[in-house]
Amino acid sequence: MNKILFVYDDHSPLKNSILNCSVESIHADQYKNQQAQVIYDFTTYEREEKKKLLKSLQSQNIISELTCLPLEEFYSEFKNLKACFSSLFVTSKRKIEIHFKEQVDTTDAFSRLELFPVEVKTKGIGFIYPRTFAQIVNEAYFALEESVASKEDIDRAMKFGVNYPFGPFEWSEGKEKFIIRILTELQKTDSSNRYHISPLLIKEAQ
Amino acid sequence: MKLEKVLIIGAGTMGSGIAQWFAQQKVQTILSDTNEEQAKSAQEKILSSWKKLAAKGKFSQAQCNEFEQRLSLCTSNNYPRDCDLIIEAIIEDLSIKKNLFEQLNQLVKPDCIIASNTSSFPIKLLCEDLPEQRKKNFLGLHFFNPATIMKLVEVIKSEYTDEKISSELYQWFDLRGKKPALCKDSPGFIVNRVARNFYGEPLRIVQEDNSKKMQEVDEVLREVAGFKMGPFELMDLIGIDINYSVTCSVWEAYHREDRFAPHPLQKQMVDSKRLGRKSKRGFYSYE
Repeated sequence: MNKILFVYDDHSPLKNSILNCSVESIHADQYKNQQAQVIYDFTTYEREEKKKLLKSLQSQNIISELTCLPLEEFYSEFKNLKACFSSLFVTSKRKIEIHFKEQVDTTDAFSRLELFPVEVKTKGIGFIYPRTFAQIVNEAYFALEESVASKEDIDRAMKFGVNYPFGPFEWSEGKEKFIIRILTELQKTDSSNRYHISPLLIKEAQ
Repeated sequence: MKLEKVLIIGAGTMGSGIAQWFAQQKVQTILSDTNEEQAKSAQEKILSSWKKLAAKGKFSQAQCNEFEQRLSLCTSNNYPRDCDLIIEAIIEDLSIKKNLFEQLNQLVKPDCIIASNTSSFPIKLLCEDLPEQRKKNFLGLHFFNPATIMKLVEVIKSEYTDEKISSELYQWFDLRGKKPALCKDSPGFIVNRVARNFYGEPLRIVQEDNSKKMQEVDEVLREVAGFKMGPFELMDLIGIDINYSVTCSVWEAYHREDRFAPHPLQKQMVDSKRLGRKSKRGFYSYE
């Protein structure tokens, strides 16, 4: 059995690509013990819902989207969780970070979604790109909240002053809730106010 | 808004880049520095840059000749009185800057716009001792290096700045291919504030002096996120000491808020003189 199965939810940013690719896929709500050699979980669920889903997945090899949750905690709880990846903020380069607990060949599966995994050893919350990005966006919201400049001017400043590929607001549009979840998890690991979230960002995510 | 004559004070990297860009905009541009040799050397570099740009076909020879005619030097005791705009790009020293603005106040025409290219001092602080009318015509114009290439100009209005001046300057730059961003007079303005976490967060991800981890972070932020350079290679290029100093200055200005706190590794690098490419060792080795 070399079956691969993609599981997604309504908020998975790659939902359309998943539905249009040649790999069998299923909405997490409709998952009923379907077995597969490898299951790729693209759901964006929060901690408890994610754990409930992972418990139900019938495979010895699960590869899961875990941008907003702590990898260590999930690895220790789910022995069949072999790797975690971050796909919530995919850019036009279509590259994603992936961390392996055990080596699994993921190239073919991800290539069906035109995604190129980049292996990382870093396994903290938010991987590397989403964690850094979350803090940049958070600060942009603090600046906006204090009327330092308009959204457009902040975006323009970051693109044309320091060559960012996109301005923080245009880059994070529609993804604010994921940024809040990353920062919320980071808050739990840090006793300072470093990951204090901009109230305007919270408002924007609602 | 008509800007026919511009004086740039300070012929370091920023001042000379700003002067070069203005001379390319059909504006009579005067570059000045207290160190006359520095000013001459900056002028030579600008002329040589135009020659190279003409050879590459970026500008015609005729255009470069015009630019050359528009650019001149003056000494610090001979500033022209009839400039429309003065941009200060001298050393980041508050009292030296304030003395210069006082000197200019006594000298230049009443409607001359005076701007500072400072990246660390509040605009309000720089102009607070000037007469009310001067304060209205005083603002920050923060260019980015290299000023001829980087399109951003932060147009910073203090609480005294006349809205008309800042919005007209915004339009003036916009019409000439720059990408102005209007911002309030607050620490770090836009870029130096929002970009702090591009360095601060990766430092917290790696936590220690480990070039393998840094390489991974640099590669991911370049290859996955799409930034032109990774944070560690960029800090090495900028100078770890310079980046650390900006971090500290923004942190202090925000009353040591945790979001802006420098990472201990930054101080450790500065103390051990590992300053980046310029010292051949930084987060990476260049020997």
